[in-house]
Amino acid sequence: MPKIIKNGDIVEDYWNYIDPPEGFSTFTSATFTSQPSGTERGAKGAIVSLDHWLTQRTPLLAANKALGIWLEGHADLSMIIDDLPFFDVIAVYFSTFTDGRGFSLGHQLRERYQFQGELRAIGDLLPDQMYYLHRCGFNAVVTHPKDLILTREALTDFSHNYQEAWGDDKPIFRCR
Amino acid sequence: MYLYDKYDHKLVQERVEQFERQTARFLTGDLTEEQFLPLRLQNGLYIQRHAPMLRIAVPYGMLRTAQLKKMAHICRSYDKGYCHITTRQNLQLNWPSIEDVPSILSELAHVEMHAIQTSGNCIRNITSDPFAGVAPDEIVDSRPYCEIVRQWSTLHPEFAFLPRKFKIAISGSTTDRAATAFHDIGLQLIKDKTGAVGCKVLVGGGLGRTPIIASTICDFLPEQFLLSYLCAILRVYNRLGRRDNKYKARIKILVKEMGIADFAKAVELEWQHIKDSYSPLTPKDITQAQHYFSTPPYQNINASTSGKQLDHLALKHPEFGRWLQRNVNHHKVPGYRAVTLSLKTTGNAPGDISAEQLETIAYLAEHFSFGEVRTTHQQNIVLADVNSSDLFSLWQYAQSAGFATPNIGTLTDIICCPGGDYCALANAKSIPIAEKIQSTYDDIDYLYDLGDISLNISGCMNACAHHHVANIGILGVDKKGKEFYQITLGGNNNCRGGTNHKPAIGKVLGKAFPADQIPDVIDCVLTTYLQHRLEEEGVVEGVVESFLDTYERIGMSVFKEQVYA
Repeated sequence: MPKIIKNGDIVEDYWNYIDPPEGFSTFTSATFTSQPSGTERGAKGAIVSLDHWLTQRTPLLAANKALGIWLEGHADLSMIIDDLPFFDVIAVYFSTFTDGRGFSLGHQLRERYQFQGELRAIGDLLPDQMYYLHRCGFNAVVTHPKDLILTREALTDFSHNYQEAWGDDKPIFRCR
Repeated sequence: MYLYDKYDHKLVQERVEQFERQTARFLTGDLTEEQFLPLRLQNGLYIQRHAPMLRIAVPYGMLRTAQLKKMAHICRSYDKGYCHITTRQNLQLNWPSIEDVPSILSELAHVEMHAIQTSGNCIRNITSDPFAGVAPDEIVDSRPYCEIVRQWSTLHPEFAFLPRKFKIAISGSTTDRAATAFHDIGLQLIKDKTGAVGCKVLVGGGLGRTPIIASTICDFLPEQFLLSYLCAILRVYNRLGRRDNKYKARIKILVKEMGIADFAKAVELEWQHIKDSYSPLTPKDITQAQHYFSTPPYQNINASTSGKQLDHLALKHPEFGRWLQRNVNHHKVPGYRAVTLSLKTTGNAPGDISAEQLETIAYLAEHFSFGEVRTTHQQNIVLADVNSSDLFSLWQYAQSAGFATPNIGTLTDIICCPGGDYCALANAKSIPIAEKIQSTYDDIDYLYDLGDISLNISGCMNACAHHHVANIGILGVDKKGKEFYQITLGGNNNCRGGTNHKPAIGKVLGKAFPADQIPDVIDCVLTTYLQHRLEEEGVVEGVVESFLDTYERIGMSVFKEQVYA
């Protein structure tokens, strides 16, 4: 079972991916499948691509299994806004660690669309981005196995923040 | 001036420690060069032609004596005894060794300085008017707002991996001395009819390969919404800005491709969603920020008596008089003046400053200006709060230290990038061209006859010296491996050159010239101006038409005919 960081802990990952991002396997030891394997919500479910969701929506819902969706940084959220309640997980894929679109996407999902489920960052990420990811609403990160410990440690890189972000305490200027 | 408390100290210290760990991982091979690149850039570290370059942040240009002294020490201990003031009010070390960088950052942290976000695709240092807080034409002191935005943008979790770098400038006076129209976001602080403070928001300006004058996206943004509105603009840019081509990745290209109306609509939509959840700035937040920039203990001075004394001294010492005329600005407090120390002495690369000079400036600031100075976009130093009865004594000190060249705003007050001598990007050298022009035009009477005129030299089209917005711009270009220089005329960043001018981008005069022809070409351009300018404007005696006014009246063709005759 691959391990990921979730809510600050290193835990086993119970999710499979259907139609994963191209090149995703380079960054993870996650498993890939063609069908959701879980039998009920909350058991091992599948994170599907946006295309897969749009074309297989009816059978996926009929199967009544735990569902997640993965999105690219430039995804147009308006296509799935009404579907958000169906997803336990939304994964945002970073095709390269310098592509920061996912940070805004995460923030929008949490703040503007009030997504309450698991928001996970997947793809080409540096441990050094963990602190920022967390502050943009990501509570789970799939990282290369060798980076797991470093990534979790990076959650405490800083003690205070100058600005408001998602789920944060007061910014420094309000602490004075 | 802003002073750190335990929170700021802790944050900068934690950043230094984070970068130490990152550097160690890079040196042991755990981080690749490609992975380390954005991390080191966001800590100010470039790899340049001869050595690394470390760019140190000077928030909106403000420095105090302890910081100047520390910089002098760092220049001596870790570099070749000097540093460089950039056009964005920062300081640059051109010869540090990469192993020393963590120690330098640690030393800087002791005096509340750092190199955070001075490079990379993130929000850079906030720049402002070097006369903020003292300018007679000031509407709102921009410094508290600069500090609010500085804090907001520092280690912002969402905007550290933008499509490209992002520069914000804030001005608060009727004359825009912060070049807000040439920034990714320009904020012009104003008051509405009721006296409430807000800002006019400009977006999508910039120089570089594609010079564009910013568009207005909001005519009056109430101050309490400043941060949520900035967030909305940055979020739209971060989501939609191009990432496929670094030359098309700045926000100016996005605004141009979408059109300002559609871009504004997207920002408005985003803003409506966050404007209430993002807690607005309260009057207390703003008062707290203003508190850091409270008025220094000015003396009560009889302005008319002190004015007469200055007139008397100026008559007796004509050199002092010239310095008063060019390097000394009026101040909003009677009897005080703001003094510009010129770093544009012939034989000195524009903007370069030695360890000894930094110490002298620290001394002058301590004795004449409440211990504070400002760096300027024009790469000079301002002592903002000088008692006019101290001016003569200050002038004598400045003269012996080589800072009193009375050339501020004249042809030899050149803005110049490091160019091909230092920079890996440059197509051509720029410093030798500046030196040649400075030594050719060292006759002060001729300089004064030319009056207000700006000349900027960039070594490549990245335009670090902002040649597009100079009245006379010089751009280094590469032609089959040889250095050539293209001339532009008529640029203006609204700093000077007449108060009625709008920001303008210079137009190309014609085909480029080799370096040895530049002095003759500049001479021809200046002679053409002198021949055509109007001298009998009458109302104010001795006022003649400026270079920019003359250019706008007679047009490019007249200059072109003369230069290419």
